Amino acid sequence: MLRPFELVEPTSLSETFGCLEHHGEEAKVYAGGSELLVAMRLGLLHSKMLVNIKHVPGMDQLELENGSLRVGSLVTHRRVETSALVRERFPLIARMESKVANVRVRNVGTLGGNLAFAEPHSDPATLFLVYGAEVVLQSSRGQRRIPLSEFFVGPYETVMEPAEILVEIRIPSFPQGMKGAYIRWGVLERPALNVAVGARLAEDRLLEAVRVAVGCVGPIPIRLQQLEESLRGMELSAAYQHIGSSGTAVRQWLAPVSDIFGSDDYKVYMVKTLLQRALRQAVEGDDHG
Amino acid sequence: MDKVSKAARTVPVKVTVNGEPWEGEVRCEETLLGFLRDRLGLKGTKRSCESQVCGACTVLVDGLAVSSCSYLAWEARDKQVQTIEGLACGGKLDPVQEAFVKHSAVQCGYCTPGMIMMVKALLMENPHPSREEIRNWLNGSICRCGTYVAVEQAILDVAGATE
Repeated sequence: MLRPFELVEPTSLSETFGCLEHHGEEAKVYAGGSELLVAMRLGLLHSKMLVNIKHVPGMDQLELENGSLRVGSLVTHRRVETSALVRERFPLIARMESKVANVRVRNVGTLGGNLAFAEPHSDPATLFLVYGAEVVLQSSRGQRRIPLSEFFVGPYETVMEPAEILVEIRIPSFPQGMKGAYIRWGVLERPALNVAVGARLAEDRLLEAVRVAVGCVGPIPIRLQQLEESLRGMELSAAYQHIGSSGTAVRQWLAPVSDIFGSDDYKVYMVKTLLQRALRQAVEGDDHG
Repeated sequence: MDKVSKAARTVPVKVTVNGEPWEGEVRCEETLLGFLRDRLGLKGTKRSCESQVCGACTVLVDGLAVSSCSYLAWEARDKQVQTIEGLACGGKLDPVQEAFVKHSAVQCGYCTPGMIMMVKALLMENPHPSREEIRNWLNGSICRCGTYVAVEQAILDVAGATE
């Protein structure tokens, strides 16, 4: 059962901000409810008021601008998954979206909601980190653009102010010659752990540029920049070996805990294995987008 | 129908359920599942996990499969809702229902209405799904009796697959 709440349906951004400022923490933004309603039903969260932003114009764009994919925060997972534009230019994103939860969740759940909720077991967050995505936040004081790598603070916690909303996600294309891979692992709706890799080989088959992100294991999805730096300039076989022997560092970077998804040892082992596989998939595959 | 411009505890809703129009006020927190079962008496749609994981409460809203347990009733305003009760026409079962009967794709039956609505949505989008497409689509429709293989056969049959 959901406890009673009130509803308000603004039709403009200014009306939305006015409402959020007036009601403060008691009001929660509603854009699809996939995350929010579950948390409310479990009693993890109670909102006295939902602010339905689905009628606010200007947050449903899904388009390319100067090589970046602009995704309005009201765009559903399913729309990203089935978009001809995304399938052509960012096939890796389309495939990742096709794995999010199930069709019913993807029909109503929005990309903006997924990121804003900051659930640590998120598919898009981990992959978007290797693209160097940004989120556009807006409040009555104006707009700011934040790299996704600085957006998450902790589980269910972001840098967003109470009366601020996420209006858009901007995902740049990979640099010329970079290819990517995304692997999720787990048996439940949400991934138990996931990794994403972007890699570019130089003419001499050495790793010229590498991007590595890991989600679900630590409190927030992160880029492993130290690992990226040490992999740069390596031959592939040396890179696989290096990842395989980086268990102690992985443990230090991710601070894994044992939970329903697996023991800490298991998670460290699987992160190493999946990173090796993802790197191989990236360089051998054809996912330039 | 008008948007709620001032904070409200109820929302005016006009909705069509299985072809029948309904008009009235729903509570803001009322789910589509509760609305269908408790107000309209349509008990075919089942309550189960209440977290969009199992698929037992699946209905179609404007042709899209949704988990009615986690879909607020007012979200269906001005839309067409279809439930398992709306499939049979003039006493004749829908071809998907017929195929489930033929292949005994039912054991206890609790997941079946939701499973069938998921299949309706699949076939609307993809009339001739492959085995792999069927499995991907039904990832998230749980049958604790384990009728999956029979369900897959029923779908392949109704979709006219020759294998």
